[in-house]
Amino acid sequence: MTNLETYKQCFVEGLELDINAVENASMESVDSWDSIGQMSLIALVEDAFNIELDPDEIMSFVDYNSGIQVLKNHNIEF
Amino acid sequence: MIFNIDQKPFTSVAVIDDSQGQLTYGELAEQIKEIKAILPERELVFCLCENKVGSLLGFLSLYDNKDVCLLLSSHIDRELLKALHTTYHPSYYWMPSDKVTEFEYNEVFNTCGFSLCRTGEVAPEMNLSLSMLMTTSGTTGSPKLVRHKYGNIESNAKNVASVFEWTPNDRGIIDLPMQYTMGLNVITSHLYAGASVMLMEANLLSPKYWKFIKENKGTDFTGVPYSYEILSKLRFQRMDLPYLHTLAEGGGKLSDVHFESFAKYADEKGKRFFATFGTTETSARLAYLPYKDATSHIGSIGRAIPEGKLSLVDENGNEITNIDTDGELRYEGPNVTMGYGTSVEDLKKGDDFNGVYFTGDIAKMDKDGYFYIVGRKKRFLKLFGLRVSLDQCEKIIKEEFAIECACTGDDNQMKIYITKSSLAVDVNKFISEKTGLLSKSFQVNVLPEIPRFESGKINYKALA
Repeated sequence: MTNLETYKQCFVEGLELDINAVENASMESVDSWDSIGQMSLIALVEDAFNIELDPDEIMSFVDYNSGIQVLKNHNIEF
Repeated sequence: MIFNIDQKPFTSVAVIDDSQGQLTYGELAEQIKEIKAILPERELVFCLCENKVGSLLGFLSLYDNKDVCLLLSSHIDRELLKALHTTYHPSYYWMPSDKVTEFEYNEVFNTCGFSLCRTGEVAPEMNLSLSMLMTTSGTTGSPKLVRHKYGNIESNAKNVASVFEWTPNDRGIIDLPMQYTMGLNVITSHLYAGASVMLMEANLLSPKYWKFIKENKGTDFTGVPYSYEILSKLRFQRMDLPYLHTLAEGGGKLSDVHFESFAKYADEKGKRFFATFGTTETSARLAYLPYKDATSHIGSIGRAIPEGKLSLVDENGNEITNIDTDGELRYEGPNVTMGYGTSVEDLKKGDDFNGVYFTGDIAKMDKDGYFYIVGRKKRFLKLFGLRVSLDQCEKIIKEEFAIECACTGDDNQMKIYITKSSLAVDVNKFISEKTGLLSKSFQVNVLPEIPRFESGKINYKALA
């Protein structure tokens, strides 16, 4: 799987979303993206890419694109 | 007026929310009087709650007017809401104004973003002692309600305020839902003390949350065990929050690791960490661990709150006085509710509990008279702080899929046992939807058959 596919899969698993809904996913728009959903998503992303996110990054991870930005800051290439 | 709201300093802030709402005690008192004038006493009102000023205002007004409110989330599953409506036929709703068009009721009043709507139905006959209703098992389609009596939330507000020693200078952070017994108790104990209530819709993981509590200088926080997981993840202990002097925990058993970590943190920083324990049936809190004893009594729920009495009983109902001996936790106090209701006729019932409640938890007492929960006798789990009835889950799965089913597990995950492997995924999806919890909260296992006793009852021990 490419990094992008791995990243998308975290959304599918962590927020129980359909793969087609992943790119538009945000904390505002997705019901399951509450604090429990966020913790799930973060845990999956940290595991999948073998990184640890700091609190600021955790809190800035509010939608699909901001998450990609966070990962890029950890030298993950897409 | 409830909690003597009309006697508090007029300009003191009573409640603010993170949706730009605010009411001083004076404004709150005035609005309560205005709402009370609109409807008669003893109506049955379904309150679709949010953590907003208007939502709380409605509840306080209706409660003070001697109407009976059933507190529900404004996001409640609409099928469940329909079932509750059919069962109890409320005469009014108090709901966010932006939800009025979803229903066909008659809006008769609105203020602070919330509306009072008449359903056109006549309120059911209700016992005069019945003060309000709350649901027990979160969202699992069970209309089992807890019937409160006048004096329950009042005494709990007073006694909990005394435990925490709230003053008018305190500003309580409330992101726990107001329709949840502990959320309501944090609110009422602050109002009792003339302190301020900070209602929040934002969750702990959003930047909005921290911005709001910093700008408004929240002084105390109350969370369920999962909240503390999140705080750990956010490295809360490294944050600079000089005005936040009290941390409280309830709604489930905090792991010893987190308990010790936060107890020590509070000690070092000169803050206070309180472990508490409560149930919906006791209008929230029934026990607390004095903060000074937190680090030396890791995992304890402490002792009874003022005016309450905690004891342990054995299988025969005899009181256990030996230390370190397991027994069922029994609580007596003015905050014990009247009992349950599952039908509209039950609203006429009086006091079944009579001030005594067996919590269904197994506990033991140490030499200092402090209690520790060691297990649970009743068939429910607390997943992410939400109470989920195992029997109710079995029932709805059996009804939906016409299959055999057994539910057990622990507060980390529910284990569901079925005999048809082809339905495993569907069952997981179904129960996840009905409870509103992620599917990883449930593990569906397939067995050739469910182990039972000769009587036909499920042998849960064999499943462990």
